[in-house]
Amino acid sequence: MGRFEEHLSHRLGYELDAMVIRVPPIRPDRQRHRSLFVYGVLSPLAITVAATAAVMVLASAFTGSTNPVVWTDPGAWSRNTGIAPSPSPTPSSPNAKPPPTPASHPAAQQRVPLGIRPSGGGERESPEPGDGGYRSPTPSPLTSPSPPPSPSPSPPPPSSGASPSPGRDH
Amino acid sequence: MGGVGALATISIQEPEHAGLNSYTPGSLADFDRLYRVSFPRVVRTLSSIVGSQAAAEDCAQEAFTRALRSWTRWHGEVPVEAWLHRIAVNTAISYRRREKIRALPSLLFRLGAPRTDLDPADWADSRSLVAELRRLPPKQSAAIVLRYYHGYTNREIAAAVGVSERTVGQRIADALAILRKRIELGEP
Repeated sequence: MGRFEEHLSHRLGYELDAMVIRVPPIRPDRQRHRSLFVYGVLSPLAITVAATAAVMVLASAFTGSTNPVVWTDPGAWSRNTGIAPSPSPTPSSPNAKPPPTPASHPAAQQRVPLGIRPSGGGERESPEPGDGGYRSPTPSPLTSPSPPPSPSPSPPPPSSGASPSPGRDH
Repeated sequence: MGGVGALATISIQEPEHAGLNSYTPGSLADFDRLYRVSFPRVVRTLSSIVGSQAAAEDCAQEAFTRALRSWTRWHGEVPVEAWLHRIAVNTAISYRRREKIRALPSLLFRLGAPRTDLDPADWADSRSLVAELRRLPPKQSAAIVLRYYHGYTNREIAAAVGVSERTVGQRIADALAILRKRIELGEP
């Protein structure tokens, strides 16, 4: 080390050692750091947990069951909320209950004129014997899976290509 | 200085602090101890880089906050105080950059006027060496302080700040040339 460097080292030590430095406590910074951890990490986790719990509570309230398997069944939601599912193009199973048809569907009522009874065997859905009134346009689950035959011979049923009833030959 | 293992307790022999020579990465108690021991030294280093002791203490606080966040990532590959100095010097460099930008409008306003922003005490007949170091580029003044005050070798400084040994040597040589001109020859 040259003379200048020695002088530099000595003078630098003299000036820097003369500084009076107070060591402030580090704990407020650590508490800030802990707050960063709480608000940056724990709070998103808490929000996620709370949201999941809310979804679970709502699902069990709507379906009436705490079994998560039931929550995935769309039928469970409709049974408890009274909301009919969208009509399925495929025929329903014979044992399934037909969904309730809302009364405010005049177009549906016009498909089955009053007094016309669908042919084919099976039990009728409506219990009244002389029902000339409102009839459900949807096929009974106990009849054949094909849609109800058209009341008039010429127009085929709009939903499928089912053949007209043999007893309707006019 | 000795280092044993990467994740085990690192035994670091600090020349001025015999007995306080083992730090466990991630241990808050050890970091507390490191803070009490090293804070004054870091402030003295930063006083040669930033404009005042108050600014140096602020930068040192910020540096220790950053060091606490990455305390688990120090594995003893460099001495712990050198690792601290790296964080502190980077903090001081950022501070000086911000100060320069902040002072730009006033600098333009008083263009041509004599400089009055320095402490008058620094302009005494025996001009303060620290004041001269503050006028140097921050990386040069940091290298001078680490070399001639803390006693680190060029290799240790290079490992601490993450540059090559040759770069450290060049910075020190450039800084010495400027200081020699200003101190010995009285040139501005």
